[in-house]
Amino acid sequence: MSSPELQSLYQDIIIDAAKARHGYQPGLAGSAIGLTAGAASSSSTQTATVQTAAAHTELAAGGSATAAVATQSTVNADHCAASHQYNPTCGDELTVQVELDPAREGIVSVAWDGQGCSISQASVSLLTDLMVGKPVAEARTLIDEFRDVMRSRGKKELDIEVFEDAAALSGSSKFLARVKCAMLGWVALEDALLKLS
Amino acid sequence: MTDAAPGILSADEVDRIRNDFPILHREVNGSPLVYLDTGATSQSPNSVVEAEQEFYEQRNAAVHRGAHTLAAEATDYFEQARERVARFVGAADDEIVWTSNATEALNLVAYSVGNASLGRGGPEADRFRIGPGDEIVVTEMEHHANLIPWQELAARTGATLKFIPIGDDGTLRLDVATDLIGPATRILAFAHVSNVLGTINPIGDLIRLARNSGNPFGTLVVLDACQSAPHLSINLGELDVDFAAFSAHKMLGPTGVGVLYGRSELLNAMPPFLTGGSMITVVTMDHAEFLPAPQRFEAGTQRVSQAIAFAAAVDYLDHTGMNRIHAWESALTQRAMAGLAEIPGVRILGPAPGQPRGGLVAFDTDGVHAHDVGQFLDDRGIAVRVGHHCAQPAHRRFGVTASTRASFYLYNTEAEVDVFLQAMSEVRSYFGVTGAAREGVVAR
Ligand SMILES: Cc1ncc(COP(=O)(O)O)c(C=O)c1O
Repeated sequence: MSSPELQSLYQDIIIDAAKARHGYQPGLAGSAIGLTAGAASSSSTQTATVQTAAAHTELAAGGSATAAVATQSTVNADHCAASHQYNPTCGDELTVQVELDPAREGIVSVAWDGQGCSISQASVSLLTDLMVGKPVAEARTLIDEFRDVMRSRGKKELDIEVFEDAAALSGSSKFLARVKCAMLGWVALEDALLKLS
Repeated sequence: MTDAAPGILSADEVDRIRNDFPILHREVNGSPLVYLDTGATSQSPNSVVEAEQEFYEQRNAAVHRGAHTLAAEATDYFEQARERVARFVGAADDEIVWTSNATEALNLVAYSVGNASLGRGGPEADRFRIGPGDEIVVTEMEHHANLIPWQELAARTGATLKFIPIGDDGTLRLDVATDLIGPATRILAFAHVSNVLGTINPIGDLIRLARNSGNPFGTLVVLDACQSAPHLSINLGELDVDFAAFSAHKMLGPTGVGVLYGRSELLNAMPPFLTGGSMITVVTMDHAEFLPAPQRFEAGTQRVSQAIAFAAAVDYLDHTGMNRIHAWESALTQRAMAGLAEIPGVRILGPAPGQPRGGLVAFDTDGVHAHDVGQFLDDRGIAVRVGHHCAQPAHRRFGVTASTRASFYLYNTEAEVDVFLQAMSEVRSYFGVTGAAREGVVAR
């Protein structure tokens, strides 16, 4: 009953990744804005697996994509940065935190907090799988390539050899309204990396 | 419902109505379009499109300027359009100000009050002055268009913004309103019908509270009629509101035109918001005198063809009968609500089935984000609204950031509701979520 286009948007890899949420760490620094704040925020119902940041950055609801750099003792602020991104159309929001090695050349870990549609959740989960262990320079190239495909209106595909499972996100590029959802995590990582360069 | 009761549209009549709307016959993604997004913007019948086209083909000219025949005809049609829209909502001609949309109409009031507060408009405008110690009261269910202009006005003038909260049943807390509205209340602004919850607010009770507030200047009542003027028979004069705002594009008309209704006496005392050509009498290098309302609020070249098409839209509604339209939409809404209530994991926002409600229903689907629900429905040609519908506080109140909204109008059918319900019954399993909503889960 569903069209091939819809099937290509919602491949099993996507649906599974949206549920698996690799890298999901509720209570991440700077993820406090929350449109649901005061009602049922996700962070209050989950057990936090990372230390909360010493500086709890309070942003105005609907605030712009501002980053809050984690300052907790276990994460070296020189090697760790976060970026908060918000999609005002559907209210999706995401904070991605990246930790680099001491030389700041490779990605040691990616963690994120936020909520949104299956495409944004799957995308950031697959992004986490793909980026951990990658050199920073390569990560930047991958983000550029990803953006290029997403903006192609379905004309370009992500190379499965390079993007692995994340290549399943190619289907989003045909749906103009979903490109932002797919890009959210990637833009956050790009912004976080920029703060460390 | 198929056998025609006089108080409601018949199914045959709806079929005939649909023939007047060419867009309803197109396909989307291989399926017939099922348009359930009138709450955001409605579709237009041929007569509306033709009215606009006829204007451009026969009498396009600037209005209220120039002496040639086309200018006179254009002005005549433009002013007749005002009369027809005025009659439709129970207003006098000079109480109807054309704006770009409801948002501009609400901003017009907020900025004019702001200008009066700065001393513009002379002693007549004193009744609009607002400042520290004064209060503006809105509700928690407002569209951002009837919230942010008041936030901004409060910030500019030092007045305080307060709000009437929403109860668990999706209606306003009148007990709180009774305490809130008092001698300090200068402005009470609220939606007649909520665009998220569908709640039809108790306009009589709220106006009574405002009229008895004890404020020495009187409390100004501003009604957001965006979701009521298109769907209910309303008489603004009888309702005794001071100002009201609505948009043509939600009531079969074109985009680009809306209305600010204001009681004549108030409009003529209020300083203008936008200034420039067409709204003045005598202008010197350092001063200008303004025309009476409505012209004093219509600066610059007007949206003439849109106003004329808007009049064709209200004629269409009038001819069909507002009470019969509302009865039909209500029946469709109740059918949709009954169907949604049977689907595990779907939680309806707003008043329970059987309670008064505008022709719309918004809901949360446990385990599936609204954006994904909308995508799934679109694949079958079903157009609904997803997101926060420009009412973030109302969503936050019910612990969600986004919802899916189906809204109905005179051109929707029972069969369309059933197509929508069938698709909704498949959504959660498509996304690999099954079973009833998890206990205590309200947000995702
Ligand atoms: C209740 C309500 N108020 C205000 C508006 C704003 O209308 P417009 O965007 O036409 O100015 C809308 C439309 O979305 C609405 O539903």
